[in-house]
Amino acid sequence: MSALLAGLTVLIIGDSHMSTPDYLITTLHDDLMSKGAVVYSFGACGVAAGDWMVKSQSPCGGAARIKDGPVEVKTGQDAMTRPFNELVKTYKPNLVVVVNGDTMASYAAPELPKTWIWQQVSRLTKGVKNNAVGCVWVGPAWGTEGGKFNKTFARAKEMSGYLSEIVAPCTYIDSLTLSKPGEWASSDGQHFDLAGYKAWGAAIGNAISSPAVLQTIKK
Amino acid sequence: MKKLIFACLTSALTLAAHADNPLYETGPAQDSSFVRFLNASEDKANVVNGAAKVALAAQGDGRVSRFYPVKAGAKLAANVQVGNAKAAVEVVAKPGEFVTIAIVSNGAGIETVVVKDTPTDFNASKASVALLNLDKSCNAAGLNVAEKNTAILEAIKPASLQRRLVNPIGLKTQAICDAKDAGKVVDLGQLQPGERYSVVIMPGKKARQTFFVRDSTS
Repeated sequence: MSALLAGLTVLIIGDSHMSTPDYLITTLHDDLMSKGAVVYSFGACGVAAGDWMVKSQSPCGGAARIKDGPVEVKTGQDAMTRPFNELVKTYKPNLVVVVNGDTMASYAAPELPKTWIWQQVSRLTKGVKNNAVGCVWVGPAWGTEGGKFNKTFARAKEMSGYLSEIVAPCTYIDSLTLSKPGEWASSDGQHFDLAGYKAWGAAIGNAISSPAVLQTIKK
Repeated sequence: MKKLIFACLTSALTLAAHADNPLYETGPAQDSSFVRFLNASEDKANVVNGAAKVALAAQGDGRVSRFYPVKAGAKLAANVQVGNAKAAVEVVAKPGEFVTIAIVSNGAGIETVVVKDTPTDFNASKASVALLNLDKSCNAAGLNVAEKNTAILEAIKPASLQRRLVNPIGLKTQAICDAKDAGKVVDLGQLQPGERYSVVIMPGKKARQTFFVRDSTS
């Protein structure tokens, strides 16, 4: 337990990496709590960034976790995004953490859909600007090549580079720098085992605790 | 015994973390495409596409529509009307393409000029400024920083466009046609990071005109 993030209220929203127990909704949430933050987490599997501005149905489940409570798994009609403005009004975060990259990288398509991604990201960053809240954006990790999502290292790199240019005013956390390609084991190319999610969660937590990020946050 | 229970628990947790995630789309099969209408005729214009109708003003911001999302690869047909003058237009947008359909005067009638843009410069920290040349008598259009002769964009042929990223500063521009000033100084005001702007050169009834519009998709 440390006090690095004491006094900070963090809202984490994200895709499938935030939608299953033992994924980031467990490991990143725990890491930030252990540093003294009050944390609220919401995951909606398979959604794009812009879906967080309205109530959107997740195609593959979701989860929520409030402070030190358990991960509540949501299925079917209950797996929805919650509108960003409503989340900010309810939980009053100093910092928003967005975990979203894999669900917009079109791994099965030959080209990265840059215009569509720009629109999705801009919808959410406009919400961040309007609410004047601190923000970090966690980009995709390497994963492993192949698997049912057709993820490749080259596309992960292209997507990460693109996100780094378009997520301002959010500070970009480049997950590709947090591990070597293929270092974290994955059964489907995109999602990790518990050791992988522990390592990713801890590395994101360290990045958030860095002076470079902390000085962008109003307490 | 305790060790055995711990090993079983660890194994169960690891299996949970290896849960079989359902397959979901990781994005669209092809990129988004958009079409907008720009009225450079100096009279009110109507664009009709089936039951949809877009009314464009003769002057001011209302002479340009927002960019409407369209299906890439599909033929889009519309009828344009200014007073009694009519024209039909048909376009097909490629994935990622932004198409501007401009209405310009042509003697007593009207004609449409189609300008296509496939931007790759999306950036949330900078502003993107484009120059659209809608004047077929302007062989080489350019855009300078006003009163400074510093070129922002150069050598833009009729019915085409160029754009570039600039720092989000206050910006006044002077459009150029064939090395001479075209229209009045266009003051874009304080550019906003992440925003996209188009300066337009159009053939006016009396003289060339210039204005700017924010490139909006919503």
